[in-house]
Amino acid sequence: MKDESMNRRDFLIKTGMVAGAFTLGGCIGGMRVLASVESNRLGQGSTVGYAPPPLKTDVRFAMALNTKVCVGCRRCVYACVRTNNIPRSSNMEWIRVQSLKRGTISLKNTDSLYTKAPLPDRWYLPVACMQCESPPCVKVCPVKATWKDPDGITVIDYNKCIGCRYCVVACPYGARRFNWKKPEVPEGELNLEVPMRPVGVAEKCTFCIHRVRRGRPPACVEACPTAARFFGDMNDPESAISKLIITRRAFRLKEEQGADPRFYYLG
Amino acid sequence: MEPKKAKATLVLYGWITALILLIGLGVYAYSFQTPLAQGLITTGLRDGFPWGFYIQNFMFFVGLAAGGLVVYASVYIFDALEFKPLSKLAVLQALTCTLLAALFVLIDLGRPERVFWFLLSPNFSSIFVFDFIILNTYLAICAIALWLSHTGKGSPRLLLGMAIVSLTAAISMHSITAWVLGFVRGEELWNTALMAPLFVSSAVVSGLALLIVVSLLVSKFTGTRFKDEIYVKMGKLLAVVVLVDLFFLLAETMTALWPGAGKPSYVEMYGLLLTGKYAPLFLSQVFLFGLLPFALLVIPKIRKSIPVIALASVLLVIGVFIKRFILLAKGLGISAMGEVTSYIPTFQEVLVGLGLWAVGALIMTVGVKLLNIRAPEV
Ligand code: SF4
Repeated sequence: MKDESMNRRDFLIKTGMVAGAFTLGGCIGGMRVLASVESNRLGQGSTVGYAPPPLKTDVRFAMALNTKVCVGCRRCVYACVRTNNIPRSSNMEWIRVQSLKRGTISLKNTDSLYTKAPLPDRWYLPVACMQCESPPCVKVCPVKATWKDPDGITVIDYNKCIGCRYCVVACPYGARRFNWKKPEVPEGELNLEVPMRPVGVAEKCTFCIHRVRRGRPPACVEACPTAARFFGDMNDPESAISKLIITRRAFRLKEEQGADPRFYYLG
Repeated sequence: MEPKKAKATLVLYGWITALILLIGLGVYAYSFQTPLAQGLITTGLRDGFPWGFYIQNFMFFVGLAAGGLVVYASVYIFDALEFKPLSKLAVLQALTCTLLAALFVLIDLGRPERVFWFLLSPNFSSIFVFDFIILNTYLAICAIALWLSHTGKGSPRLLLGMAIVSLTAAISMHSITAWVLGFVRGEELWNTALMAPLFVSSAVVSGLALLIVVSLLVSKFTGTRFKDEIYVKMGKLLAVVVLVDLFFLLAETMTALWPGAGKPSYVEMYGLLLTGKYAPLFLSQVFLFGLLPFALLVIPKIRKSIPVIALASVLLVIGVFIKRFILLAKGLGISAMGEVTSYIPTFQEVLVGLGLWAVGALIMTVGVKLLNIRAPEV
């Protein structure tokens, strides 16, 4: 109930802001002031309020996943759901494990809703936000509610997103989710490091921004029972992930899309 | 004379009351989907199919705004003086439809109260922002054109200039709206250079057809009558644009279906369109709402009959409405990760849409009354 009244106040304030913005529309001077305040607070390359600032600006976080050992058990999905306060029953997990037919990498007739794994004739391809170098979602967002932070993580300002879902449509990996309803997490299971998203905005994998910026690995990497996942700094040639990408047969999904993802699959 | 007039007034007020009721119902339905209430979960949309009935309507109304302007502009650019009696109605239609298009985008937003960010931090790498700009520009242009044709002000030079500007704006608006889909690189069936031309052609088809229907209604209810030649001429024009539109469709279908020519994504989607779950919609759009009205408009014996032209026009408007949905399905019907998705609008969504349609009808009705739009006395 308390939540409700908070929401209403929130709404009143925002309605006031809309009205205010329109009044100011007539007054160009006022517009300028507002616009400059806004660009200081939320310009591209700044950081979001809900995560710690980047540790260093010269890191480039990346992930690698060994497809040889992934058994499709979805432990990574469950760990992700818990740490990121993803509602338990809304089918909006940030990681989606695709089950593919052996012998092909074609996405036609993939299945992400399988109930039995591993099966001998399938192989598994977990997909989440690829933290692209050239992210289509950032380019299409009409209001700059999403951008790349200096360490390469694509973030969303949940207080700014207008919920147009253009990014959901534009992501070639289907990685963006939308809050069709108000997300709920059982009391006592809430992770206080991660904000709850409001209804009506987009969200997606953040490489566990609340963990990696404090020096801990993403939850999915930690949870994987077959140690299929690797995480690290691609700018550091000595890091495990840099070496894996060089020495293994690494590939990226849909490279022809030109988004330059930083999620590598190891063959 | 007197009882007839009284009856006309009664009909008018009954119509307006019905529209206001529908609008009220729409507002009520909308209240369920606001962030304060349940959110967009009340719609049939989900992550696999994030744009539906509202965006379909948005694209549809952007299109309807076109035809009117084509008629208005051709009066001054091509000296098509026989269309002049229709020009005021045509501009009113363009204005109303543009307004509705804008409203349909607004109600599609998950957080409509934040829409002011469009003004404060527009992202110019997003074509959506340009759509926002051109929509507003177009509204302004329509308002000026309406004022000019209502007051009869403006030198011939000014009117010609206005016609050229508005035609350019119309084509820009349709191209940019087409590009909102066409610039999505990840969707192969949208990401084609054909998108903008196809959008313009369908837009002119639906807009012209609607103008025919609306002007017939206006003449019925004002007890006046536009000359039959106007309709025969417009029917001819309509047939030409329908042909262009059908040609574009043929071009796309051939590229998809010729053995070995179509990319896998095209082949898969055309499977859904021709024999799969979208077949009833797609096939009826092509035959019942495309080829049939085209035939009605070109068969010599019947093409000059006003009821036939009216029927063809109604079919064509419905056809383009279906087409807008098929356009969305072509991109969203198969998700980025290769899964076949599904979407059916909910009752709530449809009610909201009906409410907005009623808003449009109300604006048109009041506009026709206030601007005293009627056929010139013969
Ligand atoms: S849904 Fe939000 S983040 Fe995505 S494009 Fe729209 S405003 Fe930007």
